[in-house]
Amino acid sequence: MIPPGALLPLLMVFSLTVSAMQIDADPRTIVSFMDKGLSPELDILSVTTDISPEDHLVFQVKTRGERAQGEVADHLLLRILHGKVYVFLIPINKENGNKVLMYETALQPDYPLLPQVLEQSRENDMPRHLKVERVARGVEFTLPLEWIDFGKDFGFDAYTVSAQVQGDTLEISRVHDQAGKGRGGSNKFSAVTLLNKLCTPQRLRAGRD
Amino acid sequence: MKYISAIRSGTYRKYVNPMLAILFLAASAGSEAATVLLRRPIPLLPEAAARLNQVHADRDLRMWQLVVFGFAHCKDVCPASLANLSMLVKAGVAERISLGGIFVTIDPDRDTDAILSQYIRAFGTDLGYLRLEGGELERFKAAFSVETAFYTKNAGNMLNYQVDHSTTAFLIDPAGNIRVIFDALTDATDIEDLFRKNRTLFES
Repeated sequence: MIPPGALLPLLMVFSLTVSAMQIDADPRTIVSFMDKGLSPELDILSVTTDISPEDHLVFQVKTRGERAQGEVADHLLLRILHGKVYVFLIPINKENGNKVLMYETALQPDYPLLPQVLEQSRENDMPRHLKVERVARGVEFTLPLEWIDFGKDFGFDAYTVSAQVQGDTLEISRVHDQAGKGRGGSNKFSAVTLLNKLCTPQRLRAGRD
Repeated sequence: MKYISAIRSGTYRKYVNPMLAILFLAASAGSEAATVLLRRPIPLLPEAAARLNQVHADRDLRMWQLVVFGFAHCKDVCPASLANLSMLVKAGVAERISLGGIFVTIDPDRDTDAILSQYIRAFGTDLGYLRLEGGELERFKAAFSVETAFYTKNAGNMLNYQVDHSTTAFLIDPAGNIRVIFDALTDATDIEDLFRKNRTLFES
């Protein structure tokens, strides 16, 4: 028999376990495991998507920490699968500025989801008006919704990497962390799902109280 | 789908509602809604298009269709969606757009034909409903990327369970292509504006 005093903590543990499963099941969000072996600025905690009031798709990548200066090869990388592989990188060091490197490559079966070497494509389908903004312990990548083909699948992940640029080529020499590590697969879903808003009558009622 | 086991003892029941509230809060997605006029229309699979066409059997072949998903036991969200749907069908007719509204139940176990028929009648005579079951419903939902989560539904509780679902709605052209994606709860006025200001869409 469980004493009534112990019941609430037990239910809390149960509910958090279930809710964590639900967060993981949400395709719009990646909750990443903390890795204390990594420097805080290289340790990704989460990637979330949202639609802004201006109808832009916003990816927010949060890390455990941030830094002003350090190893210049370290970058935060957002990878999008949407017909092709699109890669956007920004330096980890805040003092290195907000210049975004953009690459794309064909999406092929049996091909790594994050190729080690990326070349700038001549056939450029990159989104125009990509905006990148640093936020507290993280970065926001903003893409226009009109860039998305809602008839196709969509997938995303974030990495911290060491990467060197040589001419038109980007070479990723080391992956420090991957938000979707251990999830397996490419986590692809219908792009329409990005627009879905889940509605719970209970939540609405709670909001009114 | 996620199920939470029913907890029946009186001591446990005291804590069930607060805990379920925590679960619902944690489960809700934070995404804002948006109205998207698709640059590239999404053709529906023939099976899904055929099912929609059956709802208004004597329909005008130029008829556009507004499609929302929900369940009749929903006390607040779905009625608001259906009120918007009915308003939009009337707004379309006022703009001389041939338009039908379709409510698709995601909960056919409780939503019988009799219940659905009575339920949508409360919102006007210009709406139809679609009730599919099993694999056919799952394929239909997948065609529209509809998300659902059933709570506390199990063999011992087939009546008083809760369903969360995405509130995304769709405007379908007469050829069976999704042309506009919007939120049935928050974006109805965007669609009303579309009827008035984007006549070329409906003449295409």
